Parts: sequence; structure tokens; C-alpha cells
Amino acid sequence: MAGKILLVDDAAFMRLMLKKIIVPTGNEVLEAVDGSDGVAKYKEHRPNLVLLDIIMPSMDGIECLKQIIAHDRNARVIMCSSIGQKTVVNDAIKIGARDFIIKPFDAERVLEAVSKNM
Amino acid sequence: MDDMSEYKEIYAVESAEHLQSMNKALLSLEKDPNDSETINVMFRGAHTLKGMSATMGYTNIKELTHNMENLMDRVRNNELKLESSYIDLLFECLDTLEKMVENPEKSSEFDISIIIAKITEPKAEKTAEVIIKKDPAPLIENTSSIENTSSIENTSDPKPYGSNVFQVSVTLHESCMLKSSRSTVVMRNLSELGEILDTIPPVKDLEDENFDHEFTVIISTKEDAKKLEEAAKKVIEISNVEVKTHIGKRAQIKSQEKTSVNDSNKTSIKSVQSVRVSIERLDSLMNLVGELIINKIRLMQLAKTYKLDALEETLTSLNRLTNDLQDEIIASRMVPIEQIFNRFPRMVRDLAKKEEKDIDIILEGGEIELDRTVLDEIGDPLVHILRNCVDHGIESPHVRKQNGKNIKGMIKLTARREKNNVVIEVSDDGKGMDPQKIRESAVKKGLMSLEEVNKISDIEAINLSFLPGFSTAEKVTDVSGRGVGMDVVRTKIGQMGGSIKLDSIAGKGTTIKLKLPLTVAIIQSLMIKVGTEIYAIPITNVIRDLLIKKEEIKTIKGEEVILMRGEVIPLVRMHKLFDIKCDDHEDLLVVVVERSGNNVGLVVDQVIGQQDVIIKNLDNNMLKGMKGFAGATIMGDGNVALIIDVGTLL
Repeated sequence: MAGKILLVDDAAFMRLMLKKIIVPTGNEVLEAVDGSDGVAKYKEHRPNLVLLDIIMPSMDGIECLKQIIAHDRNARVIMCSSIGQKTVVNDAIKIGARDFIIKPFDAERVLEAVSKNM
Repeated sequence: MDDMSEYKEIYAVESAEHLQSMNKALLSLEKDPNDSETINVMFRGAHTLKGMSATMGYTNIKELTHNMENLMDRVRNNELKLESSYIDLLFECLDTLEKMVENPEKSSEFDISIIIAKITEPKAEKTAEVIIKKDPAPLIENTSSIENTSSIENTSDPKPYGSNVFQVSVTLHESCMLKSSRSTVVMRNLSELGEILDTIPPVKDLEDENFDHEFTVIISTKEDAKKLEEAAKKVIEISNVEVKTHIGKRAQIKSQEKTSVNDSNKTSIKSVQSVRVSIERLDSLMNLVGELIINKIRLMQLAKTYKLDALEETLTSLNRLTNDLQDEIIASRMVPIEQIFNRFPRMVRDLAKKEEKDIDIILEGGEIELDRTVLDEIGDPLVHILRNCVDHGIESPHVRKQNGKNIKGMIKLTARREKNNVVIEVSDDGKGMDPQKIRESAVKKGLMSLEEVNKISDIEAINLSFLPGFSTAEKVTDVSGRGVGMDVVRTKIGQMGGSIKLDSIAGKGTTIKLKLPLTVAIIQSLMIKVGTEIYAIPITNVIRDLLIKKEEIKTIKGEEVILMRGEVIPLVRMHKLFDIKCDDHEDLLVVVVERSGNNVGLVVDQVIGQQDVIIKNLDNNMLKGMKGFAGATIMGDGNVALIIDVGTLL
């Protein structure tokens, strides 16, 4: 089932990497450059899935997650975390993130996360 | 059972805490035997201790606490009224427990049959009930580990989710990172379908990543196994999910028991992140920081001497860092003073009862924090002071009545922070000290001549009680008055770099004020020079320093004195005291210090300034026990300076 996936990450490089992994699945990929952009793009496009970075300028991933969930209780958000952010990840899960993937990204994992949550 | 040994320390600490809170609860029950919350505190305390002791295999402790628990349970259910005989009995139990807990390995040697008989005997007709009620339902909060074995049966009741209990075993991918968060996701997904009853390993271990790649969630749900499996498989990095109907509650969980022995707060998922560190380790940390600071000071002096600006700059930030480090370590050594305060109400109660006096004790400022070492050191002096209050201070009820006082005596124990010191004040509204009586006593004991005694002021007379071998008690009692009294207290406080002050109004009461440094390891000192030697005077003792002209010195009865704001201050020439040759100056530098309520002026050569010094104890044989010095310190240039203990110096 093809749908829309929103990538929220301030690093263009990371977005590119994820894009390369996801595009072959046939899903449409949208991009946001920081937290506030992420919230705006979510409201505009209503993506099926969000891959959300945690550490970003202007609005971090946790705040962004909160606003997305507040806007859409059923939003499907997967956090992109690095190892060592256990507490933040746990917070995110409590707020309502569906799952998380760990950087550096492993293509197989990303695909698994996408397929399980689309 | 080797793996038990590491729990012994935790057991000791925790059981002592429980005993203390039970003591406290019992004291308030004595005043208000119907307060259900306090009754519960007692019950829970006994219950938890029972569980802990059973886990550790301390049968006697378990037996006794079990009986106490039963007793409290009957009280809780209004089957038994907590009369004073029961309160006394429970106090007796606590005392016995305290002794057993002190050395739990030997607890089996205690004969507890008599005390248990006392608990069960008085209301013989109730014993049948007691036996039936052998295993009261575990409390939800603070459920101790041993009770966890039964927690499933007890919690398997919640029925909004239907009665299917499944066991979901989840295997994570070998490569899975952040396993704890992964398990949290799984549990979150599962909890949307039912109620999680337990996990293997316990939640805490899951959070701490204390597991391999597999964990099991026991869940009560109305959904079927397939739904559970799907929910768990929705999470990535999961290699296998197996759902089985949950059976054989006890056996499986029991195997996990060992790992959860010290986990007394399982029910709360989020626990405060803390570790227990032995005081020895903190001591050695403190020592290391001390050494670090010494080296830092040395470096700073070098930078100054050789005018190395770049080095000095770096050292400024190093300075800030070491200061922060020192503050952090000091902060981590701080414990609230109530840890020792809490045991006093009980002590005063017992003493008062023995002396047939009626005394209320009021505690204030228990939250004030003090260095662990200081706390350990002041325990005994405070006990002594309080004993004095009960024994000599507070009069017996009929005397108080005669004198128009409230029959109930009052002792007030307060702690407060004053700058870098903690002040502890013990005051009573008893008979106070009679200066005349003390004078007579001093003469009788041959400590002073009649002539000398009549010269001194009332305050000085009262302070005579600090002299070694002084005790005004006419008869020696069990409580106090063995003559080792107040001088020991003063010495001890002095050794810590603190000071003690005594105030008393005959007929009205006595107040003893202890001024203590926040920490003993590092103290703020005024560095002074006498001859070629540098000495440190703890800043708590220093009132001020002043420069005087030679002609300002007056002589009273052959003693040199000066006047400071109308107060006569005796002068002590340090040169003379230390037997150092000195040149005659026109101007004299005087450091005024406080010594048991009196001010004394020390004549020194030079005041160098204020500095943090690290105390090194004089446990070297040659210097040990030498009066007048609290220790030594190493200065930045590597030289040693002695730390003056004003209390014993003069």
C-alpha cells in the first residue's frame, strides 16, 4: 500500500539517506527541515507515517511529536534516535510514538519499520 | 548462599530505616493510638521487614516481625485496642529487633520465645484468629520481594480485561540496540490490549537493560493469543514472539526471585535514579579532592612566582572546576540531620519514664543537612547533652508544680544553618544551673580555690562544667552524672572545628548551642603566623582580628587584657604558649576567638588570610592526643600547618 511518508530532519544528508531507502517502496516522500516545519507539513499533507529526528533546532523532535499527536491522535510517528538517547526515546514512546529506529540507519530496519507501520 | 552476601549491606541499611520509622510511628501512637495511618505505618514496617528477613533466611527476625505484624493487623481491624502495655511491648520488640538486625547472622541465637509469648498470650481467646490470619494480603505499596511470589494471584483479580492470562515471550534481534526502549514499545503495545501483571525479568531490569535478548510479559486480557502476537510483532527488531496461556504462577517467577531481592519498589515503574555508595568511598573521594586542591594551590603559587600568565589563566578555570567538584562531593556526603534526631524522642521518652518525669521533646530543623562524618560524631555528644537535660535539667513533676511551672517539662532540639555552619541548639525549661552551686562544687572537687572561684563571673562559673572531672550531680545515676560529662562533649566538638556555648538561667532552664562546620574534611580557616610557623584557626572560632597599640594593653590581676567594645578580653601571647622567641613590637596583631562562650585574644605575628584547609588527622603516635590541635594540613607550598583547636589550646 503506497502512501505518504514525511521525513523530519534538519540534516539534508540524513533525509537523503532515508529517501534513498524509502523511494523504492513506492511511497511518496515528503521532507521537513525542522520541528516546526514538520508540524506544518503534517497538518498540510496528513502523511501516513512520520520519521522524526529528535535533536533539531527551533523545535526538537519531542515537542514536534507532542504537537503532531495533539493534532492527530492516531498519527504514526517513528523516532530516529542515536544510541544513548534512551530516556528521550522512552519519553517519546510514552507520548505516543509508535516505534523508533537507530542511527546509523540500517536499510533493512528502516524498511521493516515502514512496512510494519504503513 | 554466596549471592546473598551483596544484599546484606542493603538489608542492614534498609532494615535500620524501617526500624526507625516504626519507632517514630510507635511514639506517635502512644499519643494517639487510633491514628489509622500510623497504625498502617507500623503494620507495613513489620510486614516489609518480615519479607526482607525471610528472604535473607533470618528466621528469628522473621518470626518476631511476623508476630508484630499480626498484632498490628488486629489493631488495624479494630479487634484489639492499642493499650499502653502493648505499646511498651512493641517498643520491646523494636529493641530486640534492633539488636538482631545489628548482627543478623547471629540473630538465631536470640531467644525470642518469651517476647512472642507476650504478644500472643494476653488475649488468649484471640489466638485462634491469629493463626488463621497468618498471611495478610500484601500491601500494594512497598511490596517486598518475597511477597512478589504471590503478587500474581493477588493481582490476577482485575477483571475489566477478562480472565485470560497469557505469557508473551519476546525475542529481540541479536543486533538490537536500546533493548530497554524496544521492550518499552512492546509493553506499551501490549498494555493497550490488557493489563500487564508482571514481567520476567522485572520491569526495573528491563529498564536497566539487565537482560539478554528475551523477556516475557504476563498479561491479563480479553483478547486472544493472536491479537497479542500481532501487537508485539508490530514492533521492529523482534525476531520471535511466542504467546502461551499462563500457568504455574509460583514456580516460574520464583526462579527470578534472586535477581529481585533488593528490588523493593517493583510496583513503581519509574524509580528515582540513585545508587548506594559506601561512606569509605566518599571519604576517599574527598581525600583525593583534597590532594587535588593542594596541588592546585601549589600550581597557582608557581604560576605567580614565575609570572606565567597563560598558566594562571588555565588555572583559573581549573580552580573553578575543583571548587565545583569539591562542592559536589560535599553535597553528596550530606544527610539530613533528622537521621539522628529521630532516635531522640524515643530515648527521651524512655529516660523520662525511668526517672518518673513527664517530658515533651520538640524537634525542629530536621531537614538541615550535615556531612555524614559530622553527623556520626555529634550523635554521642547530643545523647549526653539530652541525658543531662532529662536528668539534671527537668525537675520532677511535683517540684515543677511547686514552682508554678507546667508539670510537663519541655526539651527543644533545633538545627539551623548559619552561613557555613550548622547550629544545633538544645534547650530545656528545667531548673537551670546555679552558678553558686557550681562554684562550691568546683572548690569541693579541688578544681579551683575558693579565692579563684569568687573572682569569676556567673557565665564563667557555668562554663566550669566543661572542666574534666566535673559533675554537679549529687548522686550518680544510670542516666548521667558519671563525671565524664561535658568536657568530653567539648573536646569532641572542638576536634571537629566546632564550638560549644552554654547559657543557663537558674530556675528557667539551660540552652546549649553547638556550632558545627558543614563538613569535617575541609574547613575554612584563618591562617596566621607565629614566629616562622603557620597555623590555621577554624573560622568558626574567629570573631575578628584587630591591631592594637602596646599601650592599650591593661593588666588586671596580673593578666594582660584589652578592651573591645567595652568587653574585657584576656590576651594570650602565642609566642609564650608555643615557647617561641619574639621581638617586641609597638603594634600587636590580635585574633579574637570564641572559647566556650568567652572571647580570648590571641597575639600573633601575622594574619595571612582565609583559606580552605584539608584536615589530616594527627593519628601519628607522636602527635596523637596532643591537646590544642585538631589536626594538621598540607599547604600549597608543601609545608605542614597545625590546625589550632581553640577549645583545648588554652
